Amino acid sequence: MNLESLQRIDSRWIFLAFLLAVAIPIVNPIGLPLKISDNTKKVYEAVERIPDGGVVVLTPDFNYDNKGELQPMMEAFLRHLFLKNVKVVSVSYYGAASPLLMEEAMKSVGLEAYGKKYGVDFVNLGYLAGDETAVAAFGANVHALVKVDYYGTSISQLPIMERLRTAKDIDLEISLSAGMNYPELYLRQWQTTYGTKVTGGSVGLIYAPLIPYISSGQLLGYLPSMRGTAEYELLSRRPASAIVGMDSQSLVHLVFIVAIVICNIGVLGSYLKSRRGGAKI
Amino acid sequence: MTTFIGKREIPVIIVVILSLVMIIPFFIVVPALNVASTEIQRMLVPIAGFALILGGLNVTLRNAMKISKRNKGWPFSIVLLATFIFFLVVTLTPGLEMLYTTAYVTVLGKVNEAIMALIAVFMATMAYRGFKIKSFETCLFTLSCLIVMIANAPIGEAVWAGAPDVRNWIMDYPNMAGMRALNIGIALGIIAYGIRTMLGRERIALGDVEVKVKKE
Amino acid sequence: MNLVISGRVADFVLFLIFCGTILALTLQAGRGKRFELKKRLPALDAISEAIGRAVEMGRPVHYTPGGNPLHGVRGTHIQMGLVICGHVARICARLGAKLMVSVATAEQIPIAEEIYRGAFVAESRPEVQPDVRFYGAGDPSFGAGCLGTIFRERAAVNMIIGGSGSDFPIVAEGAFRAGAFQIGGNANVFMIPLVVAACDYTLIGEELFAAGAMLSEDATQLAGIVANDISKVFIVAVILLGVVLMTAGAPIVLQLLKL
Repeated sequence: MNLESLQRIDSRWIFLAFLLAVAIPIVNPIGLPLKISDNTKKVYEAVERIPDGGVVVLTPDFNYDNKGELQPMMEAFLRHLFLKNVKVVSVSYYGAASPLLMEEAMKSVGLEAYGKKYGVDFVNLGYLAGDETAVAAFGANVHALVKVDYYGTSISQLPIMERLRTAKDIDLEISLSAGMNYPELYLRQWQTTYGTKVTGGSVGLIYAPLIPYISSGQLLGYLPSMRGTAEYELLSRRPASAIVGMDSQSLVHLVFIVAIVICNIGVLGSYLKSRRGGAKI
Repeated sequence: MTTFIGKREIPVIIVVILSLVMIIPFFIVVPALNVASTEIQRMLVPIAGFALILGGLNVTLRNAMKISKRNKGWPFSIVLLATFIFFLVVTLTPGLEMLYTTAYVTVLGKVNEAIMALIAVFMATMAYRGFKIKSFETCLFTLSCLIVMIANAPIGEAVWAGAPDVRNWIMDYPNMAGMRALNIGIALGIIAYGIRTMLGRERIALGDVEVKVKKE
Repeated sequence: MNLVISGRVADFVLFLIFCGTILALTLQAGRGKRFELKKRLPALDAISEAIGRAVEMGRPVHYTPGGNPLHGVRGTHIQMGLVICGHVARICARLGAKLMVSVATAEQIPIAEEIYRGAFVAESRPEVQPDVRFYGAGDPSFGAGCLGTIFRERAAVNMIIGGSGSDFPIVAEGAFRAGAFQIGGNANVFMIPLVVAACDYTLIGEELFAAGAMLSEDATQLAGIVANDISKVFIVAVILLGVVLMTAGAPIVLQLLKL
């Protein structure tokens, strides 16, 4: 057997393995146990500690590209927040699709099911262009920057907005980010200047560089992608789509690991071949 | 008659004034500057929106020229312009919000999701060919990757109970040290860039795109 | 009443030290002092080799500064990418390679076209029209556009140097499947592992800024890189001092940094 050829397997076999790894557990769930990490507990406690009547700003800084990873996270947070007596303000600095995603999440979670009312307990302020400038301006004076909500209603007619004037009034900022700089925007502009507490979650790709902020306490924990969402759903006793995806994630990771191991067996084959002067193994 | 302030100096003066107005209040208590800083931040938000209009005009003109000259790929420019005009009309016309939402969600949203799904699959093939152990550094790289992947999946924890602890050590110590070092280096690079812009020495920021390159 | 806001005194002092260092060296460079960077970056040397390969194969070179916008913190990465694009365009013009440049935002189009045109004019090839393609600001559309370009045109070399996000895996893996030699450069920390895994040569983190400075031979850019190195030495010294004092039971440095 020519071990060297293991480095040149057709990618389509890997694609097929990937497809099977995702599809099979959805049809036939395995039900592997899930351990809840300290990081997820920190995020959960940050939400639990919001005082009664407190104001939470939830920023869905992602697009349809990352809907699969972050929409379940947003819904998990909303379910938890609506169980509490807090006011939720949604605003995005990422793009025009974010308010649409919030609308979809609201339809899925359902305000009325929790006895909440739009304009009193929840408001969608839509998308504000300007990136970090908009974040800074929002933190400095909300009413000077935002005149209407996403549906065109004047904020003076929305009782929830009476509570939110500057970032000092925010009891917790929950950032759901697909871009690494987004949590940093809130840390720079709100936390450093006004002392706002920040937590949230992100796509798996940008989680690792945010660990320094978690370890220094600037971020009160941060959920990594679907794994974090699944743990959060377990912790808040409201299992949903993220937990369903965990079995697929397990098998997909196995596919990655097997692929890497196979390739390195091929590398070993090349090395042994070069040592033995070209003889086939 | 020579002018004291030329076209290069005006944007530099604006950048310097705005930068100082924004930076100083962060450190030093100057109430007047605090107010000015807040007002400037508020004014910059619609300016950022205006940049979107300029970008849209730019794209429209270029694609219109491409269609008129029948350059390579001109049919795609027709699709682009038609989509652009459609969304512009739907966004600006009151009463068409449902059409906007439907078009965005059912077409653009789904296409974006499909393309991003490619990333996951491409990552698998990238991992297959990229994580080859050929030196000490690549060995560390590959082992770290394998341990983190094992620990992140529930199946990994079921097979090796100590995986999360090893993963946490990797993330909390070597990974964090590396990330902090990279962040410091990049942050210093950005500060240097900002200072060069304020001194008027950063060409591309001033629109002077003649880049002098080394002769090989 | 304190002049400096409490809790930010140390930040202010460090800010003055770093800015002062950068400013001092930049002004010295402006007065004619030359700074040199001794370290070679293999990725820069590989650029000529890669373009030569493309000319031999009769296939084009694809270059993109990445899918990030031109504004904000990541805009600086894109601008470094555009500086390096000028260098690549110059070598393509000299060796006779066809160059395709893909950009993600509308404001990058005129800049990229001017750089392209300027490079070819400087190499006495004014007849070549800039081939700059705009594929939209979203990562999916930009990634898909670049992927399509690389496959259709059968690029021999793919360079993604600047600021990429989620578009990087799509473009890089697609280019590999098209058989392209790859040079990648990224200062987004979360992309660095992917760049290292996917590309044959890489510029990571601040190597991107150093590459831009080395290629342009702009005295002020080189001065900025040297100033950054001096600042880093200072930071390492403070860290080491802090670690030694903390180990000895004296958290002086930590308390000073919290002022």
